[in-house]
Amino acid sequence: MASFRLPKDAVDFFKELRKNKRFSLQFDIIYFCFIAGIAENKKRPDMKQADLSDVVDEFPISYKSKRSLLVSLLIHRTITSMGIPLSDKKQVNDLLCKLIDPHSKTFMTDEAMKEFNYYVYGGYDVIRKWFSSKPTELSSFLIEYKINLDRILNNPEQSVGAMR
Amino acid sequence: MGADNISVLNTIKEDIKNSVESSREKPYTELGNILDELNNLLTQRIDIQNTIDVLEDQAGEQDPKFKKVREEIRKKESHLHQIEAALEKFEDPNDRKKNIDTFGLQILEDRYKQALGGLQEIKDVLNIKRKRDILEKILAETYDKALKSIEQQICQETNEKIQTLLPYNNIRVEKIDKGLVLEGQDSGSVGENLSVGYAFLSTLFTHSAHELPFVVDSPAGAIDLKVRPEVGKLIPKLSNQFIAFTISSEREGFLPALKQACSSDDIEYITLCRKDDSSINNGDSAKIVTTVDGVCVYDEEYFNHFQLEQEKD
Repeated sequence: MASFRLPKDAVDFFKELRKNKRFSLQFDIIYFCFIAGIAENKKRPDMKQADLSDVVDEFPISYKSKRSLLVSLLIHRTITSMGIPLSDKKQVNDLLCKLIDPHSKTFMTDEAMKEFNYYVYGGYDVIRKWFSSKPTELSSFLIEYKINLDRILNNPEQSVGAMR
Repeated sequence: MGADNISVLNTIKEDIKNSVESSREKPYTELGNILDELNNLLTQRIDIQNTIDVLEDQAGEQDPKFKKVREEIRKKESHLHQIEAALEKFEDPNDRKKNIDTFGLQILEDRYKQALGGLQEIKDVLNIKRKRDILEKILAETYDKALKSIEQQICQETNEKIQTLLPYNNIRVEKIDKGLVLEGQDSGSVGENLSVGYAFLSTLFTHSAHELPFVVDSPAGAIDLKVRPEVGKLIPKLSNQFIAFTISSEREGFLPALKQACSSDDIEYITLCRKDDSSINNGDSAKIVTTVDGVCVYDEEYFNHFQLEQEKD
């Protein structure tokens, strides 16, 4: 079974937020990295197994309500990245069959889970670019994160994926 | 697309609809408002902290004791940060380079566990090696003891047979070391050596699991006439097949004893000589086989009376 993974460096980068319990779950790190990766369309498939740590096999309880949103973000980003027109029903259907597993608690196939993790790894690189030092306070981290996110979303041309 | 997948897509759509409720912009706007409020609170907190610092400075100027306590707290905080920074290296989770200088406790603990596993494996191997060494030593000692025991037994039995063959002679085998070593002398007479050899071979054949033909050139030539019957009697005990090359002078004493010790049909008498030897011309032709340059006679009587006048080149 595929699992959600994190670069080991990311655990160290968010150490202070984990220490003061602002990030109560390691999945919190995965969430912020994934959103950053999706926003900048930055995937990183070249991470070595030794540099990664397995976090969890399914969405934690506190993220269950966000499961559909996160999976739909992955589906949407994958469709747009591949240049598939939403009007092309066959291609969209084929892709959905590759990504969705109705019997999985994550709704994702192993292939989709792999893609999800690639965006997490890429998103960590994006966050390292956004933040010059390790975040120590959740409040200032959230404000800075939102500013960078807005900048990318309001100006998609700046995203890494768009530049490719 | 299967019904299951469509069901999942419908669930996803429903979840999204419930999340954004009536307006897609509403959650975004709400988040923006919350973060703006948070930003304001952070600014207020900074202002309050600045005010506190000013008040503490003023209090310190008015009350030296307060100032001292405040400085002490700051020192302690600074010291605490230093300790935390120093402790940070013990929390290093980065094990990518497998560096030996890491202080990461988790890494060191993992490596320690791994090393313990390796150590146990080494201990097991060493234990097996130690047992193997002991076993090798036991086998080597067993081999030496067995060799010595066999040697002693063969020497003893050989000497008993020599006693039978040469009752008035003290020649004895002391030990076996690449050859037979005699007691108190390097060698015996030709007859003594032959008798010792028979006794030794007789002993070996007695203990052998294999039956081999026993081929001897001049089996009684150098043996005293009195000893020859003893040797002749011994021959059937040495081997089931004994092939001897004799000359006429060896018959006396040796052949009668040999014949007596064997069944009469067991001995094949064969006389071989050159073709131009006139002494064979009167034999029974049925028992004579001629070759290009030689004659072979299968006859006991002929064998017992054969005598060349002179050996030719």
